[in-house]
Amino acid sequence: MELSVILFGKGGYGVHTLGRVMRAALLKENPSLYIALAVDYDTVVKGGVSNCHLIISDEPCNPVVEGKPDVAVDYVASRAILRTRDGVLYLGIPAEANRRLSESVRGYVLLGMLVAREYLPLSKEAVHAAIEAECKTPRMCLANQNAFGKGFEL
Amino acid sequence: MQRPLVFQSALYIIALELDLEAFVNREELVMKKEGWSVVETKEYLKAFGISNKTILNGNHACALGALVAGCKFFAGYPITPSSGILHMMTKYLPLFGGQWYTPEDEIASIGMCITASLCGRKAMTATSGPGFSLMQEELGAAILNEAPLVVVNAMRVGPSTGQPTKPSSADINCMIHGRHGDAGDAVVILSPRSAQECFSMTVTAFNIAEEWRTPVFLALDGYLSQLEEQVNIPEQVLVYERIKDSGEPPFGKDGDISNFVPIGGIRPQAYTGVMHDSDGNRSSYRAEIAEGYIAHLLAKHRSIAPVLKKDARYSLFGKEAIASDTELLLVSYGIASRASKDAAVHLADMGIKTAYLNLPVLWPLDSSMFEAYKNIPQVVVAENNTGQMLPFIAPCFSKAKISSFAKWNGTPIQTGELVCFCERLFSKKTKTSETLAALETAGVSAQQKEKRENNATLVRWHEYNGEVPFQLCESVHEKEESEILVHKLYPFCPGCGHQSFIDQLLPVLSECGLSNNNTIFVSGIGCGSIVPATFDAHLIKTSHGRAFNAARAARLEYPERNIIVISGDGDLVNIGCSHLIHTARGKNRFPMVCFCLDNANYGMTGGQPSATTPCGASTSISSPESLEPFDLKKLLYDGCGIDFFASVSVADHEYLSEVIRKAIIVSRKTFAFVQVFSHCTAHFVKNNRDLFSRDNLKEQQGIWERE
Repeated sequence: MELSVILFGKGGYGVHTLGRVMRAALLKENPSLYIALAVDYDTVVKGGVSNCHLIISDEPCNPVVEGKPDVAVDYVASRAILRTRDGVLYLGIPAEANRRLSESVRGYVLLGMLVAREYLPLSKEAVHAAIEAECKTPRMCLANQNAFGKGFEL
Repeated sequence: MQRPLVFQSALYIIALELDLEAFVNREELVMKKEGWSVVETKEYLKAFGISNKTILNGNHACALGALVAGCKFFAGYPITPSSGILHMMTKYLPLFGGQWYTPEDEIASIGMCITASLCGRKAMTATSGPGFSLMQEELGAAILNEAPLVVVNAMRVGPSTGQPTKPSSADINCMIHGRHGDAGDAVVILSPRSAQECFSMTVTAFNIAEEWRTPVFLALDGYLSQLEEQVNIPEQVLVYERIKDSGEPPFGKDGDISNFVPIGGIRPQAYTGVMHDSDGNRSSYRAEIAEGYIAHLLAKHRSIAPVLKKDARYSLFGKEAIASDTELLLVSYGIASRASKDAAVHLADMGIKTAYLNLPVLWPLDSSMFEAYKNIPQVVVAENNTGQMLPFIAPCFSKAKISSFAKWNGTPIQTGELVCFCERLFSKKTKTSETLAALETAGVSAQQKEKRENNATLVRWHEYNGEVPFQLCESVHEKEESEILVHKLYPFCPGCGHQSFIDQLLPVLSECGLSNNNTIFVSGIGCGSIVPATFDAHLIKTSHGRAFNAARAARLEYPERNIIVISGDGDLVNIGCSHLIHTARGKNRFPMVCFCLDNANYGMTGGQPSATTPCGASTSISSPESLEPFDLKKLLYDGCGIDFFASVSVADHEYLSEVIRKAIIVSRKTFAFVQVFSHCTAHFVKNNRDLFSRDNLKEQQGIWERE
């Protein structure tokens, strides 16, 4: 398997945490995977560019995303872009639902949508467990799990 | 990019993989040589809360490696992207009997580390480009005194502040040649390419530093310092302790290493920056001492590389095997090596017989490192900079055509782009590709060559009789009065005090008649320094801590203009403190106003304590004993004798406007300093609400002025 993911967001949205959640969930499903996580951000504490790159492979490789990623999760546009052999697929959070969401949980909603459609090799249970392991506070954990669940149902 | 079947390419691929076998349990090696011992990693892993197989980023792996290697002293200054090492060392070093300190700047950091080393402790600091530049003079002293030392440089795009969060391998030249004097380049530079190697090479760096009594630099690029990967920490590692005071002279001779005589040891020992001989006899005059000791340092340095190449204790070089008909060699180091390795596989599958060579040691280089590859006809050196290692590598391949793949835009090399570059070198399709290849061999791109030919006309100064031969360059536009306004919104954190300050400042400036025609702003680095950068105004934004140098020069150059310094407590009162008090000393020579946006921490780099952090405050670094913060009123008004000092909170808008107004008026005649309590909502206030409460700050407000 070889997959590259970039999470596009802003400082303070929890982009890096989502990256770690995805990594933890992927390793739970398949502990033999090589997963590199790289952060990319601007010199602004909150509100500036903050992206997270994930490189997933069966064996260690160049931990750099080649060109455009296979999966792009865009917090700002509230959509995910998938590059497949059949073309480019866009997955967006419906406007009505998006209006009620805070920026920091959009990524989890999109993750839920991706997992539900099996665009990522993850199970719901693995993601739930990963959120619990990676999120710092119970409140954050619950909010993210709920958001993921809602995305799964969308 | 789809990965091809590896076994088809295996014949042509050189995998100079780190030989982990050499790293584990070499008791037979240890017994043969004094100073070496085997160290168990169990207790360190337990302290970190991790197991042998874990996920670490480069910074954390370096910190773990340092602890395992026996590092007992760390001094560092927060700087992106190496601050992670600072955080880990301050957290874990005390658990293993070590000491740490975060002084006011990098010059102090390196000075403290060198002294700790001269006292007998294994010492390390971590920094990035700008901080590394500051350390050069002191590093020269470390070389001269044969002080073992490890310096981690997490490199980023430069020069100057550059792009702090964008990775690059841009400091290679500085690391090799940054020091003045002969033998200033007598250092060792290691280059890890993975989080795993960040751990293992940090251990190796300490071993080399201790055995050879030399500074060792770890060239970590910013991407790797924050890259999180799976690592496999061995159960045991080999660690070297320097031989202490066995009665021999304190310094080596003719390239040999002597015992180390610590400060505070059995016999009195002096370490200075003055040239000396192996017995420590200092002379600032005798030619034979300079000649002999410099020759010793150079000889010692030259002898390091062959040993590193062969000695399994250092675990830097692995097995080598190469097919005789290999057509292309990719040479790389650092994170670029990962792209080279993958690219070699792809190229081999495309029919180009390719090998790849990783350089774990960048300096000193030895021709033996390239012996096995000398007959390969085409070599590509792939680097994440403008080709800084190319001049050192090229002479090692006398028969090959050398090409440089240089990427310096702050993003790491992708496998695909390296494959395309190499494939073009071998393409027989068009003349363009051959031409490009030839140009690249000459180190000149086609665009550069064309530009050079077009710019052949030079402007020459002619002799003249005091008359200016052409018109002086002056602005053609007439001066217009322009109000100082915010022209570029900056995303300050929600609730940040700095935005409130801006909202009060600009109307008062306008009211006092300040405009772009009569005002120059100066700032440094940090959240507070960004404030004037949002204005459409004249601004000099200096390196970290150097705002007052620029302000003084601007004052002398434009005696009729208002000079306004706006920066933060870290910038002005920590690293810039010396310049602050000397500017205050010249209060009437340098009339200006300084607004110190005091948020009581280093906000931009993650909330580390600064010189104004109140005692007992909670910050991102826990300290066993926090120091008393500077009382800036006592320091500047009572101590330095300035004529105007004010403290005010951004929350008290009316009072803030009044203070700004008064300070501007006073600044026309003398130096005025305003300490503005400006809360940091991202870090400090989260855990210290009471310290920044309105009532608490109101008590500290005041204006002190002399006639």
